[in-house]
Amino acid sequence: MSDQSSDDTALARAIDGDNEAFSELYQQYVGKIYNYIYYRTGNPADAEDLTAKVFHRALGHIQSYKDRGVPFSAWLYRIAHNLVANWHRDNSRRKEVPLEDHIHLHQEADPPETALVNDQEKEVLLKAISKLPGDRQQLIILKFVEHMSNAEIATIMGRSEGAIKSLYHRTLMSLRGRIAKLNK
Amino acid sequence: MRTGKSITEKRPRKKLYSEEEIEELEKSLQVSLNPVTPDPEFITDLHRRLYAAPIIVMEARRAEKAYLVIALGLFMGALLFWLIKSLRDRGTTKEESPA
Repeated sequence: MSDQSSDDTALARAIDGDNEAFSELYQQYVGKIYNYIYYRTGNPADAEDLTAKVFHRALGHIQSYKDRGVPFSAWLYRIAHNLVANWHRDNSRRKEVPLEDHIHLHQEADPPETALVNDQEKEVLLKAISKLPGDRQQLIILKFVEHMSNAEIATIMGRSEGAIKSLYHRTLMSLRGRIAKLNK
Repeated sequence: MRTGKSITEKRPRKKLYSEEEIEELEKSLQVSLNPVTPDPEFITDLHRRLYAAPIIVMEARRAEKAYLVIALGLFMGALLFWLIKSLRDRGTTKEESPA
């Protein structure tokens, strides 16, 4: 997470209706929110659409924002999490395009045979992640994409650090099991 | 009836993986899940759109719709009340009038 005091100052100004302050917060978090949504939807177009919705909603409600001792980023992630949940619910009737079909698997520097093995491994891994419940996917993304600590993830997800540690362990176990099943 | 088996025996145990296997999985996650960079054009365009489209208009539209629904509901209620009342009144007048 970024510098808390500068966030708080910008947030206080944004609550007072300062557009420039909200703009600072936008520049700071738009990439992180996009990343989170991208890995939850596996689709750049939907990631852009939902990221736009998150910031429109945040701007629309910023003046009624109440400081409950959690960072502004936690509020943004909460909005994003809810919008992604609605997106999954609305899309459940349509045919879902798997995450691994969208995410760019091959890295240019790899020799072809290594790239093929890596791509297959990644495909299985991404498929296994996409089958996890929403909160577990969120935990994995915050930890490995955003490189957050357990304490930071706990703040974002509104749980204790101990609960996050335990959930992380269970998530890895479950993910390992899913990968083993997919490899059979 | 008791079968002699304890509850724990009936439940299939989840497989526990070794520390090495879990560490290997963590390494795979570190390698596979890389941050992605959103299209800079999207960032600029969204920033522009945030201030170009006033959100208040959307909220006002929602409020207008709600007022319209409430007004329509009240009107329909009043109309229904008037119809029932007038039908009852007609019935009472018929009963009172000599055959």
